Amino acid sequence: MIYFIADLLALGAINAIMAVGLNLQYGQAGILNFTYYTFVAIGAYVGAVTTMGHPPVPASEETFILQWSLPWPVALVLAGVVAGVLGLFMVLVVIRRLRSDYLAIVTVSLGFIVWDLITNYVPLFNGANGLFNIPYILNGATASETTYTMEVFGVAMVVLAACIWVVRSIFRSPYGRVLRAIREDEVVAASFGKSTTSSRVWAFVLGCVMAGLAGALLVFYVNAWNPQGFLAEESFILMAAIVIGGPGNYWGAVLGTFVFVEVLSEVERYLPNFGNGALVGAGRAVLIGIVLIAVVRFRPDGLIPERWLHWYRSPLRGGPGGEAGSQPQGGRRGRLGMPRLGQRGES
Amino acid sequence: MLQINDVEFSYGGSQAVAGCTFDVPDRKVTGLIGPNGAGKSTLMEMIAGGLSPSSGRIVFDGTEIQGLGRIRVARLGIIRTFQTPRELTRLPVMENLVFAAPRQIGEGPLQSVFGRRRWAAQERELRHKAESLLEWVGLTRLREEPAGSLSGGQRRLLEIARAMMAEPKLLLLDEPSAGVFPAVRKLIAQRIREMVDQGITVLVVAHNMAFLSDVADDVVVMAQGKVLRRGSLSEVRADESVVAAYLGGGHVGGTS
Repeated sequence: MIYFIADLLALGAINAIMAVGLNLQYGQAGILNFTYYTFVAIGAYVGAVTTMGHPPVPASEETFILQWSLPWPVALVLAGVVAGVLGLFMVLVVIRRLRSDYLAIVTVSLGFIVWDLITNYVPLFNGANGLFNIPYILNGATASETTYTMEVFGVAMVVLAACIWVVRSIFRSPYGRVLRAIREDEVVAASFGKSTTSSRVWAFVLGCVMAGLAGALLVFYVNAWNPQGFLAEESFILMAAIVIGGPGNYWGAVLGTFVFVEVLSEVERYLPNFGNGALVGAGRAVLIGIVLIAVVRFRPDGLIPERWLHWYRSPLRGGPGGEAGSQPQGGRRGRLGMPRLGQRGES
Repeated sequence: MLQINDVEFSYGGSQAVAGCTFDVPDRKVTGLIGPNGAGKSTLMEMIAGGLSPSSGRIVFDGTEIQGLGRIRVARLGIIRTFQTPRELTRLPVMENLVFAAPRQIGEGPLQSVFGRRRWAAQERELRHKAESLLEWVGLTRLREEPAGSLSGGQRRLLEIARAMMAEPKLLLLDEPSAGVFPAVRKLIAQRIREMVDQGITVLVVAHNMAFLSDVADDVVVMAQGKVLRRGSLSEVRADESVVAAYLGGGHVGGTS
């Protein structure tokens, strides 16, 4: 039971890092990236091949590049850097010419290209068989499963805290405001002299770095990785978690993953299988769809809307930039009682 | 301040602006009028950098700006409002204003994370300035509301305040009085005059003659992509060719 909870927490923290990164891309910068999990996979592979060393010959027939045995913190950073660089490359190719929905289509196809490349080019990351025996970090080799899980949870929480600190700083800063402005209306942002392209590029790259970090942590935790681990579906689940948690709100992303990804991945074991085990997975997908539709219908801004962050910043709370004592007349009631975005009347 | 020199632009086969030449004098409000399809909005878009003229020059403060693109034009101090107000709907009114301030510290990703102390001080100043602009247009009460919940007239006022926040040298107003209640229209006209008193040059497209007579020092009439006439509003209204240019001729006045 303790292991079960620890496992949930560790995976939850790792997924939350991904969600925070994707939320920076989608929620803040408005870049619809449907292949986010590809960058998680890249981080995972880099984390693996830079710590595994040479495979034990001849017991293993694994073939992969690098075969380094770096200390895990270095591998972790490297995973983030590589994912970030590949993200930069991808975004520079597509972002200048494409706008939201077309960009989304391109991200999907790029994800498939990477998936096919890794699956079919065996010398790179051992193809479809994937990598096994990825070393434990810390004292994982000797500690009990539960202890190791708790340790990974600890490390993941540190990384998560760092990521949240970064996105929180960005959210509150003029840069974050420029990102939101671009998300709302790129023409307006440009008409006020804001660098629309470079702002979005850096938000995208930072999000990919977080994906890489999460991927490396995931692979240190599960000790194996193959192309079945990053099917396109994973990116959609993360996206759904953000939409449910509250796009634009980093706490929403965290809540979305812990509540949604975690609960729904565990709910599988309670779903009826109708005499066919394969239906359980399908049942989960249906459930995700239903929850998503319900949230979009009844709470279009997500469980914790982005505006709650503005509320924390408002002068009422004496947040940064607010002057104490100058209370807005609209006050709290006005903000919470505002019309829902999905239904606001255009006059 | 701004010279438009034989500027042309075509959408596919149809020539929207066909050799347009006039200048916008410093610290004056120049009105730009003309029937629908005269090329006013296209011309405004070219000045703002959204479209590149197929030929001709646009000179601002001695620099040629045609084809520079929106961002660089805006950084030179040419700020525009939109024909249909385009505020950042899901952001609070306050953010809509503060965002517009030019040359902010912390607009880059690195500064935003590591230069917090520097931008936090600037942030306080900008909010202070935004507060006074909100008061100026009478939207103080709504400052934490999402801009998307504002009414049409309030959006026009917000756009004007936002443009002021950007410290413009030249302000391009595209129908700032369209679809607003007469009392608000008066207020907008008054605010535009106050901007000019602060040294801002204004080019305004409008259809409402009452509004134009309140704000414009001088009027340029466009028809079929060319400048038809220039002069004070009363001179222009008396001109037969101008009257004829408006569909079916007749009365130039009327409401927007």
